[in-house]
Amino acid sequence: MSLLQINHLQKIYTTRFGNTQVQALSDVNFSVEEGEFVAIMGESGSGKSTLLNILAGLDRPTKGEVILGEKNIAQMPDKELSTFRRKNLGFVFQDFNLLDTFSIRDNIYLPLVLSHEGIQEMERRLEPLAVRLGIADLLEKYPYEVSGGQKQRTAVARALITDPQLILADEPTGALDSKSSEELLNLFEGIHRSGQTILMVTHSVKAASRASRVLFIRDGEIFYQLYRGEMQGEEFFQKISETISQIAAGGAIHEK
Amino acid sequence: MKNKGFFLSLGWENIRRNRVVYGPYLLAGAVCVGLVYMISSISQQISATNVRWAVYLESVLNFCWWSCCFLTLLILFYVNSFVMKQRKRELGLYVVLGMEKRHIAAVLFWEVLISGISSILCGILGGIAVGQLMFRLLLFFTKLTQPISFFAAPKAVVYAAVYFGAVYLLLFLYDLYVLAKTDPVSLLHADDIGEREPKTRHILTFFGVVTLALGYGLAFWADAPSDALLAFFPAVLLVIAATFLLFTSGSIALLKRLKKEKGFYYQPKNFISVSGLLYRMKQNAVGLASICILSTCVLVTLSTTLCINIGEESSLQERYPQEIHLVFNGSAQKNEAAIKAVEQLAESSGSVLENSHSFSWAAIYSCREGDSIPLETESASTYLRIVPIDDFQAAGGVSTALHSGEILLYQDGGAPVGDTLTIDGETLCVREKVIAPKLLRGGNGMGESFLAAVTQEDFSRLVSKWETGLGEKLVRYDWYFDLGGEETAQEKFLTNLPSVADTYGTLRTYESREEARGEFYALNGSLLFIGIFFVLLFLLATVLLLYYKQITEGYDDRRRFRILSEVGLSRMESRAAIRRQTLLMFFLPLGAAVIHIAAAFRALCGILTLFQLYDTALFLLCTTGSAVVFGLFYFVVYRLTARAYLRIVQPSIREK
Repeated sequence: MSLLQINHLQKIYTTRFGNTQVQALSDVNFSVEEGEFVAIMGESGSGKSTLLNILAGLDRPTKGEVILGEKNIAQMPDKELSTFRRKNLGFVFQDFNLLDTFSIRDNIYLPLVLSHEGIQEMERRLEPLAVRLGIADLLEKYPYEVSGGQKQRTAVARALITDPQLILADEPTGALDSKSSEELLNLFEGIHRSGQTILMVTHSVKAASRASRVLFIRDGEIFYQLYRGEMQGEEFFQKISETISQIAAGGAIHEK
Repeated sequence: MKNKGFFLSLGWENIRRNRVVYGPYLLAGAVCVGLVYMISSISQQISATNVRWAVYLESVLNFCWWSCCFLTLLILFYVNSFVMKQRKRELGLYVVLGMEKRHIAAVLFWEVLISGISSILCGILGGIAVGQLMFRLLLFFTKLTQPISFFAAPKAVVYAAVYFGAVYLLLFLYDLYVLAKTDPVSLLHADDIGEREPKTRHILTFFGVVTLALGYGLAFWADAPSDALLAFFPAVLLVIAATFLLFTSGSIALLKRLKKEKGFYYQPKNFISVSGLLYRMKQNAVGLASICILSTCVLVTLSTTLCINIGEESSLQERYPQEIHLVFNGSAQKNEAAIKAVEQLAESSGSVLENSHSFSWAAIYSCREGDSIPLETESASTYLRIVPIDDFQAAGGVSTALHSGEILLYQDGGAPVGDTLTIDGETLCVREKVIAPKLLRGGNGMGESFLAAVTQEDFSRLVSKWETGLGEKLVRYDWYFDLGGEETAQEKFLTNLPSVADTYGTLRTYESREEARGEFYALNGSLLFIGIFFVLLFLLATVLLLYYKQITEGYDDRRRFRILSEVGLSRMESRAAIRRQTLLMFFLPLGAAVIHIAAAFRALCGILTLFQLYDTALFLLCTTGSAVVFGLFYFVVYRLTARAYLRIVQPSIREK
């Protein structure tokens, strides 16, 4: 049984005035095994953000199911969903989404506090995590006092502290310079190696080339997928680039 | 961009699009114009129709007009600066799109012109519609009668239009100044810069506590009414300073303290509220403190003017215990002829003199030294009256047989005297300490006062000694009575009374309760009327402050709650968090205002006694009544603005 199972997912937006309908997702099917690092690639408007929002439980699908563990997120009532999300999902966003009103420490504590976790338990969990992510010295600072890379590592710490089944990352390197991006991707790889399942939406071939599998989404459908297999980073990078240019050229993809 | 019409239509479009911000701005403008127009139109109506006390009412209204003008200026400037702040980003965008500052100035010009003209027009039209009602209200409060007639006040229209034309011109100049001073491109990103965590300011917090204690102490320990009046103004200043200090520094010190309590802080509810409030207070403390002060103003104005009006009959009775009060110079014997003349007048007119009380007495001002009162002193803090024992009884006092050298003593205020009282070197034995009859009770409103009843012989001897010493006549003769008989007879009697009583040139004062009643009502009614005007203005200012605060906070909180919901805060929880936060922000100033009022209550009671109002229960009722009504009103405003706030914050919670 896969960790995450997506079946016939469809999302149609109806504009508030008039009856114009926009189909963001037409029929998405895929599954993620435990311990996988999956990247989803696609152009703007391909539906990848919609997909991620539905997986995150922030948006409801028009049709289809999203099964995480044993539960169907698509059918879950709002109250249950928040708790479920807090316990089982970790988020990393492009613009970090840290709250300026909290110190780095409190930003990381946030999901635990919402789950009524005790202070000792929070401290116990944070300590090793902060060391591992290299933010142990920053805990008392505020988000506006640290660099972009440090902010993103804080966001990763916030995602990891609940020990989630799945990490969802939305363009995590999008707002970072190349050095910080590199560091963050190394971090993701490390987390992945320690057994964490990660699902990442990205534009960047570089970021995607760190994944164990890449899904390509176009016009609201999973169009193609690539397994890393035994390929080295550089080789996989080449492969992804080629695939993208082929998709851009509009042709169907033929395995060589 | 030579086309003038372009800027006009752009300005118009801006106002339409920013209606969340502009709507209340226009409304506030119209209400201000309406209020100012109404005051001057009523004042003109009064001078045109020649009602009684017109001169007095006009001067009161004039004062009211100037104060209202000033307040409306402040209100409009506040609102305008808020609107400009909200729109800075938009102005920055214009620059990016290639507009020069003079082009933006043209857009601003049209915006101010449109909003100014529409506010002035709506305000004056509204003022004309409601003005008649307000005029009737004034007549009702002052119990003056005037036939209903429609009255247009063209002069008032001109005044209001000219004044507000000038105000809007000032606003435009201010906008230009803001535009010139700022660098619009940097404003495009102004919102994105994180706000620093506020620092604790222990010294300011400490000062806040001290000034508050001083202010409350002053108001609370002022004993005599005159002291209360003297202490009230400094107390008010201290409390205003304390409110600002405590809202700005005290609140932050408190929240930081709470944050250090880990067991308390790391609870979901407290976690969100405390951290949010910390920033909220930094930005809004001044606004909240202003709301608190304004609310206190509303409550004080409303409760005192209401109390004065409701209690006016009893304070009239207090001030004028009987219908007629005549005071003659000299003793009863010297005024026999005048008394006879008044009695004859009553008889010939067919009225009856009822409950007649008359008595002679004499008074000196001095300064007591222990149990001794010298005849002449530098200052005059002691008011001493002596009255023959028979006259004391005639005024309604106890009857006691006194020996020469003995006195019955009544004391009001000051440290109690011993068994003897030495006056002008002559020691008198206090036979008994008594309560004076009502007609002799009133002091002179300041310091301590004594009333000594003595034998007739002692009275004559003492008074003649004092008169020689001071070189002035001291004896006076008071005559109180009520009137009976036919109404026409009474009228006839009253018209002739002053001249008849003064036949022999000895009449000192003449007071008729009926005549005083008109003045009393006019005074108190107009107080209530301008009280209502000020309350309206204060309310307007409060509502605007509340509304704009909610809106700005809404925009700030939008991102916060979106992030919280992404991390796993459910919609219900975030609603609850929002509600708790807004409730606290709303009711903190109201709560503080109620505490201020409670602290000022004693001093206000003291001040009301200067209006001859001794009914503490009535004032308590008026105060709680105003607090409850204001609280309800405040709650309604809260619900309305909270809805505007939710509309801004909610979408972010539902969607991404």
